[in-house]
Amino acid sequence: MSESIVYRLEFKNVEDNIVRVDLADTSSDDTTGDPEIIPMTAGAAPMSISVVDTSEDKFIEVLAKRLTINVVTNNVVNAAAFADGPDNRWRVTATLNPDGAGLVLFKGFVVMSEIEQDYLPDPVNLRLIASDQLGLLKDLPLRTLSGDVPRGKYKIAELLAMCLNKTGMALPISVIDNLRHGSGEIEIDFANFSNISSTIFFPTSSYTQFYPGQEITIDSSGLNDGATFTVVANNGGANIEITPAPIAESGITNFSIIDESSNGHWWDKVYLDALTFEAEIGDCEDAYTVLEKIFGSNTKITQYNGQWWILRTDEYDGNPFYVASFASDGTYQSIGTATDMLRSIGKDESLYVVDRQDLLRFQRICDFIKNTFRYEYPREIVCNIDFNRGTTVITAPDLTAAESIGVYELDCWTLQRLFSQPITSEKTVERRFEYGYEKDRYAVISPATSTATPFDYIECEPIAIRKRDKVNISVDFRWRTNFGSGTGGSTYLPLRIYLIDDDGQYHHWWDDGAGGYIWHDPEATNLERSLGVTWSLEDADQTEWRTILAELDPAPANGNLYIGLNHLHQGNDSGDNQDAFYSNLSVSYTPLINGSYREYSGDYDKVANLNSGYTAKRDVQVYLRDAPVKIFKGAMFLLNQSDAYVLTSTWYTAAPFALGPVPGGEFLHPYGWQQAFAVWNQFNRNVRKFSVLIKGLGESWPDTIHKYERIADDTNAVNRYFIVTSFEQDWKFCTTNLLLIEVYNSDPGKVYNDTHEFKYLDNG
Amino acid sequence: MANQILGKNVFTELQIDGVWYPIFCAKSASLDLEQDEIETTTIDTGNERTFIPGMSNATITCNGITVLDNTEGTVSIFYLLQQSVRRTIHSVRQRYIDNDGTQLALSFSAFVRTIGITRDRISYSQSAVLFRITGGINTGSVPAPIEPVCSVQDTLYLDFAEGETYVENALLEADGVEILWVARSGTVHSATTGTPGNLQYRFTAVSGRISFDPTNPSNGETVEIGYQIIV
Repeated sequence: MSESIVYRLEFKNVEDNIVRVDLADTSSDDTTGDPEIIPMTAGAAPMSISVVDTSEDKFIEVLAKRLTINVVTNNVVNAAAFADGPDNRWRVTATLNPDGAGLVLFKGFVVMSEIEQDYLPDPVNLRLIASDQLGLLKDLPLRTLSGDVPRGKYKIAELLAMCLNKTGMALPISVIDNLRHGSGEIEIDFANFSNISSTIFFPTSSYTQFYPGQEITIDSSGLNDGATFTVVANNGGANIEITPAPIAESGITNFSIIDESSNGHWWDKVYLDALTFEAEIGDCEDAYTVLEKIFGSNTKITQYNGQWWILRTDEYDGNPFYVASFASDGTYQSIGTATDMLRSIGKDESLYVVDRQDLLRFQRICDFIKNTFRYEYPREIVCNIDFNRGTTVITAPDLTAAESIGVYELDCWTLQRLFSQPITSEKTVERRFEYGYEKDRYAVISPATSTATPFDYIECEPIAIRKRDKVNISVDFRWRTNFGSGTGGSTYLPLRIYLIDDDGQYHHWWDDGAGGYIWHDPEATNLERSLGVTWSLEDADQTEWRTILAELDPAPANGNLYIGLNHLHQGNDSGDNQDAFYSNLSVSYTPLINGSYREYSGDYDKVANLNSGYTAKRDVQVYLRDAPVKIFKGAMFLLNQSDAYVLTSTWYTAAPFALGPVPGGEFLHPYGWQQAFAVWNQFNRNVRKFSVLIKGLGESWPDTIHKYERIADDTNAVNRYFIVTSFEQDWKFCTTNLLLIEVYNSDPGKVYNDTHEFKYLDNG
Repeated sequence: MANQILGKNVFTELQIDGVWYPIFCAKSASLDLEQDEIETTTIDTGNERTFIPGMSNATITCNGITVLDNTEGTVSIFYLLQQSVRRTIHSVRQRYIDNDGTQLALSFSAFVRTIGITRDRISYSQSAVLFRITGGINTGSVPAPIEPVCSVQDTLYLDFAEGETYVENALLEADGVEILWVARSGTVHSATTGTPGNLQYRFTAVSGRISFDPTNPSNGETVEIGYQIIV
């Protein structure tokens, strides 16, 4: 959209740099010509940028920025010029040296509620405040880039793009977060490949970097070069069992085995289900909460030089940064080379303290830190389990009538028929009303034209389960009208249940031939196998609800469970050629966790100080996990080469190894462990804080993304790095009030051998 | 010392329609500049504070005899008092001419900050204006100015000690002083170039002396001298 009017404030600051602030009107649809520039006269303190965070928490998830300008009013420049329109009408861009380096200091929109002007004749001071819109995300629910409620699994980068798109600014994303799933590139000195035992042997060395489920690729000069395998077991590091079997070859030296899940950036590899951010059935939490949950106890977001920057606190140490780039839509682009975003503050540096505003404080040492992950199920294990959603009206009810039926589309359930046979049934939802009050609701499957198998059926969306999890299913069914002219019993098959495992194989829950039901051996395709109920038709009323119950044995494999509800024109009676109703579908799910079917409410990682005397503690909830169960909100997934979603399991930090090979399995840990120690290393010592006023705002201005050092001959400064959690920059006088919090001390460096505890939380 | 600047050779001028005019007949003017200081003392600077210069601000004031309007080629206080003038940023300069005739001008933009007009029953009405300088002060040479004749008239009251036959004052020694009238004990005397007689006086410029009839010394009187000086 063209912006035909731009109000421009431009001034030279005390460091002889030009600062320009443009307020562009986005409401105009004039696409021709250059915008009209209306100059504004700077008032006192013409421009400042601030990040206000009073928590002093290094793990605050959002560092939102505000820009404040003060201008002098006249008959054109005044509060009324900016006071009308929606929140995103006036786009604000602040640039340093716009005709030179053109560095973006700020992008955002004017906040209408923060406009202030002295109510006196011109000229008076007009204050305008612009926000980078991150705070506004609290008012906006999570939506896809096309505006729909997200459903299914998305890459973390895609979810972030959905959130950030709500700011109204499509900014590229830079990320400092070098966690990697898996074990990266494993350098092998010598190995033998056995086809018979489906094994790779390491005669001369031990490799603990392999783990079950790991997908690996061989990078060698041998016969297996480029081949991909899945690790079945790591036998102590001496050999690994893999599938499929490799080509037999011996004496392969100096090659690499690459964990595929470690390639690129983990935000481009790891998925979350949108239900992690479920607010209510069919809707999501606000985008700000989504950011908080994704970033919690790990990273933070801020804006810098026209980009969103996402910063992992644990990376602010003695290692260089490796910055990953994503497009504004979440598309991964690349990871940069090592870079040092260091700013030095000292009496002989370009940043130096002024006005003796330099206050030293300390942070309490914690006795322990604890990150708790709560096991939360989505509100519906099966999408539209109660057939409540289907808002598109086919037939509207008469809500004034004594009885009336409304007919609607049925969401989430898909009509299916096996073997590519034509589907002749239809699916709807009916709601029965009495004087406008809903009394009954059920899914309706119209009869197929043929009574032959395979039956038409409606299939639910997949339910992710794991091997040995237990599921019980029950559903009520009936017909629209009573029938039953025959004699004796008759069997109808309303329900089908099958599991598609992570390798794409079908497991059917079906008749064992002896009156019971079992999980049948896996098949390559789906088969017509449904569960039946038998009763005497002539003695019963087919309009009465009947229940079919399935208590499944522990699941035979990891995968997705499907429930199918069949049409009931199955030919056992001539009267069954009519609509089938289904209601009261119930699915109870009992996962196997920690070798038990006990109901756990969550788990935690806790790291504690071995010394006594400390009483401070940090006990927070975290929302992302290597979850034990796929259904849990916050479970993280990888998409394997069979296009199945598998749970994440093993992580390492790549920056200390310069993104290169990980030397051993001792560096591989669950996500929770990595997160816990990243937090612990911020609370396990006497951390210094400085509230300081510095001078120096040029083209290398200090900001929230940088790592800081204090150049001073003092024990409170040496060997330490700091980060900024709040600041206020005066761009006229080039001073900045900073809150610096120590993030790393090379003496003693980071600690990983303090007492770590992982524990499951009992329910209740 | 040729590069010394006499006070009377400092001129404060306002530009109107491209022409520079002195600001009334200012008897005194001052330009004051203040430089902020920013302390840069840190833990490493020991027991001595350190500073760097900060921003500066400046004002210029003019004080002189009130004139009614601009007709005599000087800017009247009443001209500056007009809202359209005092709320405008003007080009102002201050010229300095040393004894050699070399000129230096400080040029800047300024606006009226304060105005004062006084009434004194036994003296001339005084005007005072303070300009706030906005932006920087530029130094440079000056093209040949338009030099209006700007004279100031004032009254001097001198004690005429008993037994004396003359009074003198350093002010009357200045170049360009013209005695307008002399009154001794309230009686106006007339000027003469010879020995003064009864009700006469003689002015000796080189010494700044007013001499009276030597046969009529003072009884402890007061002499009032009206004078004019070019400023």
